[in-house]
Amino acid sequence: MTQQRIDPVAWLAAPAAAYFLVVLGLPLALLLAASFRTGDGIGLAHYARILGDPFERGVILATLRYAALVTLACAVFGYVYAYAMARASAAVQALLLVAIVLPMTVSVIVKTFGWTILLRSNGPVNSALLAIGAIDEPLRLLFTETGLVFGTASILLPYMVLPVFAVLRQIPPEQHDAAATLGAAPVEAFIRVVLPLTLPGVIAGVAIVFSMTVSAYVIPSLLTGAGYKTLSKAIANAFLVIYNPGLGAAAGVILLAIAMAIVMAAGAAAARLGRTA
Amino acid sequence: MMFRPNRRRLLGLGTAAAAALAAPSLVRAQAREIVVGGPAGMAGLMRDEVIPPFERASGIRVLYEGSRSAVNLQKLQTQKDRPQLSVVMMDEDIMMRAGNEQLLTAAATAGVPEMGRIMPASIARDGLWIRYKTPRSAIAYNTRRVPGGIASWAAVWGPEFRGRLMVPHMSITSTVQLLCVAAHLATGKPFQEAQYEVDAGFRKLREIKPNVLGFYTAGQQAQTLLEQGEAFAVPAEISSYVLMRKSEGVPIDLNTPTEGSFALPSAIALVNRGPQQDGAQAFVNHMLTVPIQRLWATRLFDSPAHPGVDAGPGILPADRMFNMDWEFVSTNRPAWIQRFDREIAA
Repeated sequence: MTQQRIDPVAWLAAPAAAYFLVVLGLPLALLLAASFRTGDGIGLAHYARILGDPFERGVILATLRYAALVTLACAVFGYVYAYAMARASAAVQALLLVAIVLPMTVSVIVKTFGWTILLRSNGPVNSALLAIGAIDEPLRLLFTETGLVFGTASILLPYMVLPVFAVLRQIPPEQHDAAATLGAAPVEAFIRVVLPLTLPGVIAGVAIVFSMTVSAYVIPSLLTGAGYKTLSKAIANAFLVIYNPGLGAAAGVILLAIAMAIVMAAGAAAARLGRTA
Repeated sequence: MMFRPNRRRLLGLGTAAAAALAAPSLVRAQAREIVVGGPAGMAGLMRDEVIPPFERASGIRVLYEGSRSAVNLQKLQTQKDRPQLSVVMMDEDIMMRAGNEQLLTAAATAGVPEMGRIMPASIARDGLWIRYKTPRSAIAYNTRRVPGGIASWAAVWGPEFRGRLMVPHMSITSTVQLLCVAAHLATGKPFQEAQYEVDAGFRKLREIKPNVLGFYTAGQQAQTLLEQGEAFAVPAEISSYVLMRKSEGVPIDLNTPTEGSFALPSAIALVNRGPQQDGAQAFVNHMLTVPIQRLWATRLFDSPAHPGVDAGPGILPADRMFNMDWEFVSTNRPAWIQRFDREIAA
């Protein structure tokens, strides 16, 4: 039996691996250990409290619902945007790319405060709806789930657009033309040819947007204050307000498990698509 | 020229790198420096007007870290064995918790001579912390939206404020005063007795929910909406912010409710085993001197602790505001926060 030698080039990853072990692995291990620490010793009391209490379970469900709605909004609007960008002329494509990338250079706090202006009773959204006669009196959008979902989706949209666009631009336009030549209507050609080929990009976008939403703290804090409960707010509350670090650590582990499950499921789906492609 | 590593060059590089890494701490050890943890909202005034004269007079550099009281408490807890903060400024109930956990050390007139000149009521637990100023807590309102003002606490339960109140979350200290007001309105008892009628307070607070635009955990969130008129009023807001902004021409004001205003003492303390204890004492002393005490009154419109400072018209003396039983608040607040989340902010 011959012993397989490690490629010496692989050692180049060692410094980065060591760095992540210290700055990510170690804190996560400490977080995990803290989540089992109770007043009496070691146990699952914090997990039992979170998973056994209808209020705390409601917080987890609200977080998942929030992340799912934002991901759906990003997938719908992001796909259309990426498709338009891929089909546009070089000049328009560059313009659309700048329009989606440039906001990423602005602080999330600034963008979120901007949304509080947009969503006010006399803000542009309500003014526009009143002007076109869609509503008779201003809607309440601030501190609501609707405002939160659209605000978050607009901030995270680039993370959906970019991976979808990266896949879309690799699809030769001839494939769409070939489908048309074979008798497929434009919609059918899109559904049966373009959409399946772009699914790896959509899956990547879904994984990124869902993970970022499920762990978002600043955006929901600024757009909904203390009214809309999410896991990340519950973690901050446990550490900073009710002084129960064990509970906060357990909530953190649950949040991490949800994010990891989504990323792994997305990875598995992408791998399956890769095999069937 | 290409860099060719050999043992001597690598040794030289290592020494240089070690020196570069160690330099900040060496410099810090030579220059006297203290770290002060205080409210984020006061950071501008502290950095512009309070700290510079102290640094010039003492030669001690002050690093001011602005944050919420709860965050400052957590810093003290996590740095308990090797504190980096020398002085901490927090709300009284949080200060009480820090005192109970032996995170503070008492100041005395030997190191802080101004303690002998301020009002005795400003010194808590034999100098464990000092109430260096007392902001007044009442209802902040937008003067364009509510031109007639707000006469009483009871008014914010009225239908004219439907969907127009920004209410602080229980994690913000002034909310315990709103709970006391709610208990007072529910039971008819004076604040002194009503503050212990917690169940009645929560029941009455539930009735305010239709009037709530949002529950906030960051003051600036509510302040922005109030100043722009999206929110008509913020119950339990403090003079330091409202009256300072009013003096700058912003259309907001702080009412004087018929039922009475609350005191929300700002406290300062020495950190137990904190670095540069003499510098820390000198800084606390500076905070109690007449020029700085005058600053609290003229710039923040808070009641000063020094009797030699004329607070001026419109500033209620601390003894004419209701001061809650902070020991009771400190003990019960974590439970109230959880209850608030489930019953009021849900």
